Amino acid sequence: MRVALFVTCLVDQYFPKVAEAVVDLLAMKGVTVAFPARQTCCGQPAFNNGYTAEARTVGKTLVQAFDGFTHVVTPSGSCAGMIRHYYPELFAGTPDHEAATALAAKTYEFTEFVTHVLGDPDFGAIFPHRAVYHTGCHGARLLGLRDEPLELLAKVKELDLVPLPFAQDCCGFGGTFAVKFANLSVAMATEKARNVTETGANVLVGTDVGCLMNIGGVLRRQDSPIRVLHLAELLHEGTRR
Amino acid sequence: MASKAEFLANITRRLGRSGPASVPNRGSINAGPAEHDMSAGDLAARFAEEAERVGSKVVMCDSLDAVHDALTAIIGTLPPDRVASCSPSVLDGWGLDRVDGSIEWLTAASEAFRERMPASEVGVTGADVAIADTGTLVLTADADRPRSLSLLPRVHVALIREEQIVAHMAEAIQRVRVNGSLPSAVQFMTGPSRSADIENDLSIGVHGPAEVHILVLRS
Amino acid sequence: MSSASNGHMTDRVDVALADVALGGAVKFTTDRLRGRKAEASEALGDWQEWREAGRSIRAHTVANLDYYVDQFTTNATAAGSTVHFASDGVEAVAAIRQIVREKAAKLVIKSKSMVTEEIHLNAAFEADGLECVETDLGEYILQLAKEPPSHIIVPCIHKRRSEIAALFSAEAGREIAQDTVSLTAFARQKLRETFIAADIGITGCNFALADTGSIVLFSNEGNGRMTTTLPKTHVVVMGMERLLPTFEDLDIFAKLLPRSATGQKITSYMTVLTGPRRDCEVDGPDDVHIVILDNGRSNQLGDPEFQEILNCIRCGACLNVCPVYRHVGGHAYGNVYPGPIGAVLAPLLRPDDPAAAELPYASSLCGACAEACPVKIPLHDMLVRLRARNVARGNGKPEEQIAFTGFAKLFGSASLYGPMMQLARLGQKLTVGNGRRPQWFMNLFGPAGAWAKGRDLPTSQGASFRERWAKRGGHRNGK
Repeated sequence: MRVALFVTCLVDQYFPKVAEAVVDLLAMKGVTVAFPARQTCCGQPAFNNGYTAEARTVGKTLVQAFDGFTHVVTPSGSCAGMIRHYYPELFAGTPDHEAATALAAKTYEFTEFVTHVLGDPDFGAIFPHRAVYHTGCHGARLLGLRDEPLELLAKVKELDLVPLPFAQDCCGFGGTFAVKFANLSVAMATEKARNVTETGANVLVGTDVGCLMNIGGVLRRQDSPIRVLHLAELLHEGTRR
Repeated sequence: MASKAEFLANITRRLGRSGPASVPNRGSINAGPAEHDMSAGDLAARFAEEAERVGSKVVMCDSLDAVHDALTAIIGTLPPDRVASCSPSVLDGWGLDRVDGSIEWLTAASEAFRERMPASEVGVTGADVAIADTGTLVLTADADRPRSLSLLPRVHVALIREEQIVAHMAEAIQRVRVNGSLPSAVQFMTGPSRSADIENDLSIGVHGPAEVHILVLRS
Repeated sequence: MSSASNGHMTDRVDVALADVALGGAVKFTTDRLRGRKAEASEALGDWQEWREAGRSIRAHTVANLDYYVDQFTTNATAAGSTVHFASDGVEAVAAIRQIVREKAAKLVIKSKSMVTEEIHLNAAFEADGLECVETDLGEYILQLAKEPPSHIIVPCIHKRRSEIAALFSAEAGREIAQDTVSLTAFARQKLRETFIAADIGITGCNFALADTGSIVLFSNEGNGRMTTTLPKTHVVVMGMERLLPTFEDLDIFAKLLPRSATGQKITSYMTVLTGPRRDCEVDGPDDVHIVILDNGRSNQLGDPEFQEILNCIRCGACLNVCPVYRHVGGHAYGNVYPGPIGAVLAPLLRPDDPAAAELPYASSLCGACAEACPVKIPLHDMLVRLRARNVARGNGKPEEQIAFTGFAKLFGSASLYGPMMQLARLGQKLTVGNGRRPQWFMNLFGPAGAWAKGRDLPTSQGASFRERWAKRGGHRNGK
């Protein structure tokens, strides 16, 4: 099977190891990954601020880059949510509408692809640490992915996954919200970081690097020893022992 | 001030219609799931359980004498110079004059009802229908049954017969409808008056009754 | 408050964040409310199907609102009520003032009603020198404190019991203890006298039934019943979209509304009122006046993006789950309706108010509101659409327009994006780094400086993924 990777701009620029983990993990399942280089960003920063024309210009890079692929996999619930939930509306009445709607239908968040398309959540990973899982809002609410990440984590041997209190609350990232309402966003992230810390976990794992860099930003500022990992990174590390 | 015609015409225009709407087709309405089936169980027991869950006190009575005894016990807990109010039909229908000879019954038929009623310590009413699913009493108003009987006294006692209990609200709504038109007031009452406005701490008896007693006469 | 005119939302948010007691009180209560809602909806079973049923009834009603307003008016009039139509708040207030004059009323009582807040009725009465007393315990507390409600269901959610005891003690002229029983007993005794003396009772309306001309009120304290039983005149202020087609349709909303609002299986009192008291009845009002209010609502009809906002049943569930509301409370919104519903309603009802236009930005777009909504209003989508509407009307901030024009240019082409981002990462390394620099220095870097106030910035892991991929000839391991 051959799929296209939508790396997302944030992973591309700041967290390339997440994408490398995804490529290696998919290879373990016999999936070949292509990386069409015309892609940039889903356009969500502009879209969420109401700049729809600008969002279309940027989103068009994806519509074109992934033309001809049957599956597009991305390590972000938020970016997948943008494409799946909003592209049909965003491109309505434009010549790209059909292609954008097709892209929406073939885009999968990483854990979703593994559970629903591959149907095999076990990577044989061993990860002997206590971890908490942060639920990204867009993955859960726009895509309905609540159990899928947990199915992957359940297969990890020696992992001590502890529940995160107030897991349903947003971490306060929200894209430009994080800088427009910076104090509020920091307050939300600080509360989330406290909830994470109080579990006694030494690893925070999630499926969206936006949330992770937000909560992780607070943890780093507090010089916390808690490691912050994308779920693909955790699995990858667990298979390289 | 807008006229009715202008007001409605504006809505019609906004909705993109050329003229007033004809009777709407309810085809787009989804009926909702089926209610839990209660036909097999004891409705009165379920009613009592639900009513007590929200703070009402329920006494199951096997005879009219047992109803009187239960009412005497409730009245016995009240201050000595009490006045009890009730509707004339409840006084007659339930033989309340046979209860505790010392109590003065003020009925809605009395001239003094409006002035003295607010000072009543207890109001005794019947109910049109009761809902097992939620422990709810449904009372309609009419000449015989003033709204304030179940509202102003600190203690509300409702006397109901087991056959008045239905499973769900939908059935209660059906029973309340009389020839399509409704009485001036239909109260669905569930438990005593409550508030959680002060630091979300539950307090009972804010403006309405602080105690609700329901005496169920078994059939 | 006439509008969100009290400075900017960002400033009000910062003031609220600095108030630790406020944050504690709001989080405490919203946690309990949403926890109870979850339990109550779980216990009902088939919650998603009930939601869909509720949504479909509301959508049908709004789509046929002309028919149902007409039918309601005919039936209410037949039952003896007088119906008035108000295109805006000014007309509604004028209609109510006229009733007050006709009745020569000296004392008016109100049960909790957000729509009367919307039309600023209390301020009008105050200007007229008319005594008007709020009878809901929470609203009574706020009237003594001279504050607007900060939640649509629990108006004084932000008040601690020590503050309440101080207000009651000042009112009583003696010390009132801080325990809930003492506080409630004082309010009960004080308000009981008012109920009996009042000339007019004013309420909102949770639902209005088209087929019977009835008004439906949900309450727990019983003040709604008092207000509609004791005064000789009852005035209802009703948003024009409050209708349900039939009495039978009320069944579903008797399930959805209390569960969503407070986690109760059913409200203590659901009161269905049809016309004034009949001639033979000893209590109940002699006259019922129903003021049907538009005030910007009809502008949403026929708008595919926003018509659904009229499905709202004012339960407050979206407030209780909103992370922004939880942190800053209702007053930070500077609007009668706070939280996600307020952030959508305010700019829709007042499209020319720049302060209202700010509110849709006060959201991380987490979608918790839409998930909680018992009638499935896509609130987070509406927040985004309102931002787009702002931009389309040319009301975007100039610096933002420049930034997103640049974003489209740069991110619209991978051949520009790649090298420019490489440069940007280098720039970050040479300047702000992880953001732990003096604040004056960080302030030079706009968004990065704002981010770094309480958080480290992410730093690059060396080359970008695309650089690595290209270097290895389009393979993960350079094969």
